[in-house]
Amino acid sequence: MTKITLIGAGSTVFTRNLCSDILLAPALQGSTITLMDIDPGRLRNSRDLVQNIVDSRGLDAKVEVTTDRREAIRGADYLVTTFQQGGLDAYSFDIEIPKRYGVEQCVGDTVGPGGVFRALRTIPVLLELCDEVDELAPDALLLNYVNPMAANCWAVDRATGRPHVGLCHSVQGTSEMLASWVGAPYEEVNFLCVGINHQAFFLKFRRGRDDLYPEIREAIKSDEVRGQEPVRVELMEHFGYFVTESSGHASEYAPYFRKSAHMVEDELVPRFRNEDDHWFDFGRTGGYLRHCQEVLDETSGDGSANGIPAERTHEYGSYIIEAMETNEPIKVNGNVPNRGLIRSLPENCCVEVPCLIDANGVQPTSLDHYPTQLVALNRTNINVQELTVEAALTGNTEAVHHAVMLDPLTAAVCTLPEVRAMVDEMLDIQEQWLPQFRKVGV
Amino acid sequence: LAVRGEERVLKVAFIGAGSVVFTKNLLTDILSFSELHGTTIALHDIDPERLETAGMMARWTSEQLGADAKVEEHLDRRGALEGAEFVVNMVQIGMHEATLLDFEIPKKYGLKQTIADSMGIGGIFRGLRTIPFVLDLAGEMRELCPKAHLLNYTNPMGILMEALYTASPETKSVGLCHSVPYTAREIASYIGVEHEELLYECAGINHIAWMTSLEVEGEDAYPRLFAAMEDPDVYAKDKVRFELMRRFGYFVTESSEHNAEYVPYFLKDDGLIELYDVPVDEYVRRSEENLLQYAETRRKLLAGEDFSLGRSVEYGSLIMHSLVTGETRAIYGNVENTGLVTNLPEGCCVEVPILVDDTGLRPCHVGDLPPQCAATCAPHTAVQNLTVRAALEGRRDHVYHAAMLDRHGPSVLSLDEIAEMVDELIEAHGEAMPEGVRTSGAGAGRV
Repeated sequence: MTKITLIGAGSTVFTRNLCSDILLAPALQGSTITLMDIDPGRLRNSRDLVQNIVDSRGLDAKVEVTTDRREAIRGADYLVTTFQQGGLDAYSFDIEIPKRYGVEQCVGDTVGPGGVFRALRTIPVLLELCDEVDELAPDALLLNYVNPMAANCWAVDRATGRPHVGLCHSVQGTSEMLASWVGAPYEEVNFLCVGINHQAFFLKFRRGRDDLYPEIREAIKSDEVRGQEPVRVELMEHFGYFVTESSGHASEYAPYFRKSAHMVEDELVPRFRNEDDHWFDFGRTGGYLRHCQEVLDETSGDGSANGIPAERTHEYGSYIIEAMETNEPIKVNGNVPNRGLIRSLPENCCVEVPCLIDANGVQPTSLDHYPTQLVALNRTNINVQELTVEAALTGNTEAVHHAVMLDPLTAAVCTLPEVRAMVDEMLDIQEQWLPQFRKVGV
Repeated sequence: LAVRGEERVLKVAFIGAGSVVFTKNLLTDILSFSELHGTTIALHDIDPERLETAGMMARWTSEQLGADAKVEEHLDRRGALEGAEFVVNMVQIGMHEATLLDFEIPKKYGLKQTIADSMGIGGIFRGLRTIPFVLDLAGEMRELCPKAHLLNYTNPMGILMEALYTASPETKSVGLCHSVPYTAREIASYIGVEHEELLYECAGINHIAWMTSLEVEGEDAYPRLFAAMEDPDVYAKDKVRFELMRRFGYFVTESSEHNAEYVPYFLKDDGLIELYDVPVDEYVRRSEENLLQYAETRRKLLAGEDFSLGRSVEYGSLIMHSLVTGETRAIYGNVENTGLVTNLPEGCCVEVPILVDDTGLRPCHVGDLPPQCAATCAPHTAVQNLTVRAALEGRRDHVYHAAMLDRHGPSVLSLDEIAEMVDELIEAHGEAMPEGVRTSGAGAGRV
C-alpha cells in the first residue's frame, strides 16, 4: 500500500487540498496518508479535515497523525514537505529589518534578504530530514513545496544527491490566466515554460498549433489586464516573454519597480487595479506577510468549517504520485538539478523544466535554446541562490553577506556597508533558527 | 499545414514507401487513431512499380480501417514533401545489390558479418552511401516543409542522425527503432510475465542500449532473468545477449545476431560461431526474403487478397498522435547527446526516453550509464563520428580510421587488410560514395 507522508501538515488549507487531490485519484484511494507537524493543535485540525474527506467519500484510505518526524518518514513512499521553519515570527523579521534599510519586499520568500534567510532557516531542517529518509525510507521520493524552492532544492542536491522534485503552482496558475486573457479553453492550450522557479518564461504558448503570443500582445493593451498584472506585462513588453508567479513577486526579483517606499506606494501600487486580487496587498511592502497573518487567524479555529474540494486542484503533487504508481506518463513543470538541461545556466543549479513522470520517476527534459536575455535575468537570481546554498552548507557567514550584496533589488538601494549591517542584524535576531552558524564550543 | 475545406489536414510523407510491408504497418498504426483519420498520405519512391504497389496497399489499408486517408503517389520527392508535417524516412540506398557488396567484399578478407546495417564495416558503408541522401532530403525539407518532423527509420541510425543534426541542425529530427520495446517483450517472455507487467529503464546508443533497470511488481527482475538464462531452451534463444549479460551485468537491446558483430567475442572464428549459433550472413538471407515478400505482396494486392492488420510497436504513429492531440507519451528515440548520457561523448547520437506531447519532443536527462555499459557504446560513437566526418568533410582517410576503430573488424584483420578492404569497397560502391571519399587518393592516414 502506498504511504504518503506530509511534513508540515499543519498548513491546513494546503494539506486539505493535496489530500483531497490524492483521494480523488482512483489508484491512490487506498493509500495511507501520514500527517506530521510539530504543532499538535494544527495537526488535529488537519487530521479532522482529511478524515472528513475520507469518510464523506466512503474511501478505504487510512489517515495517521504524529508529531514524531521519524515515525512519519518510516516506510514512506512519498514525502511531501510543506513546513515553514520559524513560522511567521521569523518571516516578520525577513520583511521588517530590510525595510528599515530601504529594501521594500512585497513577498520576500524567493530571493532578496527575505528569501536568503528563509533558505538559511529551511535548509538545515531539510538536510536533517534527508538523513532520516536515507535511514528510514531510502527509496522515497521527496516532493518539496517549501520556499525558497530553488535554494532549498539546490542545497538538497548538493549536500545529499537525494532524488527530489520541487513543486509550485505558478506555471499552472499563470498558464490558466493567459488562457483566460485570450479566451482559449484551458484544455486546448499547450505551452513550453522553462527557467527557474518563480522566474520561468513561457517560450511557447499555443492553442493546438497556433501561436497565441500575438493574442496575448493584443490582450495586454487592455486596462483591465494591465491592472491585473502590471509588472509581468511590463516585463513581457521589454523582455519578450511572459514570466511565471505574480506581479507582486516579480516586482522584487529585478531592480526596476520598488527602489523606495515612495516608488512602491505612489507609482507601483496604483497600477494594481484588480480589487479582488489582494493577497499581496497590491504590491505593498510586507503585503504577503500581512495576508499570512490574517489567514492564520482564520484557520487556527474550527477546521471543520472549511469545505471539501469537489475536484482535483492544479497542484502537481497528486498527479506525480498517481503517474508513478500507474505508469501512465504525465508532464509536469518540476524543479530539478540542472544537469545540462538548460546549458546556458550553471550546471547543477535548480531549474524549472518540463519533466516526464512515469513509473521510472522524475525524468527531466532538456532544452535546445533559451533566449540570452532570459538567461541573464535568471542569472541575477541564481547568483543569490548559489551564495545562499554555499552559506547554508558551509556555515560561512561571509557567503550570506555576498548573497544579499548580489541581490538585484538590495544592490539597487543599499550601499555595501548597509548590506553588511542589515545582514548582521538579521543573523543576530534569527540566531535560534540558524544552527549552521553557531560557533562550536561557544 | 495543408487545408482541405474548413478542416486542417495532416500530411505525412513516406520517403522510400516502396518498403511496402513497413509502409502498411506504419499506416495501420496511424490510421487506427480516429484523430488521424483523413490524413493525407504522400508516398514517394524512385521505383515506379514499388510506388504503385505502396499506393494500392495504402488505399486498401485506409479502406479496411474506414480511415478516409487521402493517398497520393509521388515519383517526385518534392511533391511529397511540400507542406508535410511529418516526413518518415525509410529508404534503403543501393538496395539488395549494395548490401551484397557490404557482405561479400569483407568476407573475401576473412571478415564475417551477420547484419552489417549499423556498426562495423557494413554499417560504415551503408552510412557513407546514405548520408548524401539524408542531407539532400533535409535540404528539401528546409525549403518545402521547414517545420516538419523528420522521423528517421533508416539505418545506420547513429551515423545518419549524427549527420543530420550536424549538417542540418534546424531540421526537427528523431531516429526511431523498435529494438527497445521488442527487447522488453523478449525479456518478459524469458521470465514468464506479460510485457505490460515489466517496467524498464533503458539508455545507450541505438542497437546497443542497456536495460539499466528491470522491475516486475516493484521487485528487481534481473535475478529472474539470470535464473531464466540457466534454462537451456531460453538460453538458446539469445545466446550472445545472455553471455553479454552474464559478463557485463545488464541486458542489451536489438538481438543476438546484431550484437555478435558489435563486440569482438563471438564472430572471429568458426569455433565461437558454432558455440554461440551466430548466423553469419543473416541479413543477406533476410534481404532475399524481403524481395520475395515484396513480390508476393504485390501479387496479393493485384489479386484482391487480404492482409492481416494489427498495431505494431513502432513509435512513429504515437509521436504523430501526441503532437496532434497533446496526449503525453514516453517513447525511446535517437537524438544528439546534449549532456543526456553523461558518460558518453557530447554530440554523439544516443537512445534515450523522450517526452512527447503537442509542444514537441523533449529528450530526458539520463545521467551516467554503468561504466562498463558506456564503454561498450563509446568505441562505436567514435566510428560513427569518423564516418560522418568522412562524408561531410570529404575525408577518405577518416573511412580507414573508422574501419580500424571498429571493434569486430580488427579482431580478424590487420591494418593493411582493413585499408585494402576499404579501398575495394569504395571502388565497388563507386558513384554511391560521397564526393571526397570517392575522389581522394587511397591510403590510410593521408589527408
